[in-house]
Amino acid sequence: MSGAGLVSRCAAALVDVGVLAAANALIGIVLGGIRYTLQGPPYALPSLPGWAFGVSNWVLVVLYLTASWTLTGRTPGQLVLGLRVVTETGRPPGAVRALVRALVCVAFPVGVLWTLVSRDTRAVHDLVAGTTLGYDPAVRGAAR
Amino acid sequence: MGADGAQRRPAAVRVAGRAGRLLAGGAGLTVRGLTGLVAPPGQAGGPIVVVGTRLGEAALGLTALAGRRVLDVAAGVAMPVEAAASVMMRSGGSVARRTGVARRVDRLARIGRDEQRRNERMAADLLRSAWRRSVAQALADADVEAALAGVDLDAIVARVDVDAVVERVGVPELVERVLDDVDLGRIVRESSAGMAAETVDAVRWRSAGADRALNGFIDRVVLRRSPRDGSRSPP
Repeated sequence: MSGAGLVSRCAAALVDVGVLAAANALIGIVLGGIRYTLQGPPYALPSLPGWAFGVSNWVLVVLYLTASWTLTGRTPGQLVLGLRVVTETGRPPGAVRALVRALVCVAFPVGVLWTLVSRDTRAVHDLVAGTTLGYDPAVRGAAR
Repeated sequence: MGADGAQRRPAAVRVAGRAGRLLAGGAGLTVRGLTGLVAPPGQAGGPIVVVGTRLGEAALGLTALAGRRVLDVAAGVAMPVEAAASVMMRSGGSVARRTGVARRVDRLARIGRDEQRRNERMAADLLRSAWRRSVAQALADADVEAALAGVDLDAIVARVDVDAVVERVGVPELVERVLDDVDLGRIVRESSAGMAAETVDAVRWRSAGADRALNGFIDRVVLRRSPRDGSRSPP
C-alpha cells in the first residue's frame, strides 16, 4: 500500500502547526490570567527562558502526535487532509509505535523528503515505526 | 451587546433569559392589576406609591444589568467549554468504537428504544379512547340543532368591525416579531458549514492530485524510473 505524498503531508503539518500554536497561545493566556488573579496587575504573558520554552514545546508536540495517532490514527491536520496512519495490518498504530513515530518525526523532520525517493512513498519515520500514512478511502480515488 | 449578542448566546442561556423575562412580566402585570384594583382609576396615588414604584423599577434595572453581564460572561465561558466537550465526545466515541463499548451501548439503546415505543403506543391508545368516549358523551348531551336555530349568523357578521380587528391584532408588529424569531444566525451557520465541508473536500482532492503530480515528476524526470503504484494513471 503506497502512502500519501509530500504535498499532503506538508499541508497536514501546516494545519497541525496552527493547532499547536493556538494551544500554545491559550496555555500562555490562561497561565497569565492565573498569575494576574493571584498577584494582581499588570497582566503579562508568562516569560520562559528559551531552553524551557523549546523543551516544553518539544514535549507538547510529541504528546500531541502520540495521543492523536493512538486514539484516532490521525492528527487534526491529517483529518482535514483526509489522511491516516496505519500499520501493516491496516489498523491504527499502538501507543509504542505511535511514540516511536512521533519521536523520529520531531527529531528528524527532514526524513519526510524520503517520500520523494521511496518506492511506496513512505517517509523515514514511517520506515522506522513500520507505519504508512495513507489516504482515506474517500480520497484514495483521487490519488490514483 | 444588543440583539446581536443575544444571538451568539447558547440556546440554554437564551431559554433561561426568556423564562426569566416571562416570569418578571407576569409578576409585573399581577402587581399592576392589584394596585389598579386598590386605587381608583384616574388617580396617580400617593407619594409612597410613586417612590415604591420608582424603587421597584430601579431594582429591576439593576437585575437586568447584572443578568446581562452574567449572561455575557457565561456565554464567553461556554464557548470554549462547548468546543472542548465536542472534542472530548468525538475522541471518546472513537475510543468506544475501538474497544467495543459502542456495540454494547447500541444494544442497550435498541432495547430502551423498543420499550419507549411500546410505552408511547400504550399512552396514545389510552388518550385516543378517552377522547372518543368524552366526545361521544358531549355529542349525546348537546342538542346542536336547537342551538343553531336560535343563532342569527347574518346579524353577527354585520356587527363585526373588520378594521378594528385588524388594528387590534397589529399586523406590522406581528410580522416584526415573526422576523425577529427567524434565527438568521442558525441559517448562516448551517450554510457556512456546508461550504466548509465542500472546501475541505476540494483541499483533499487538490493535495492528493498534487502528490500524484509531484511523484510522477520525480519518477519520470529526476530518477528516470517506472512510475510507482501510487502515481500510476488509470489505463
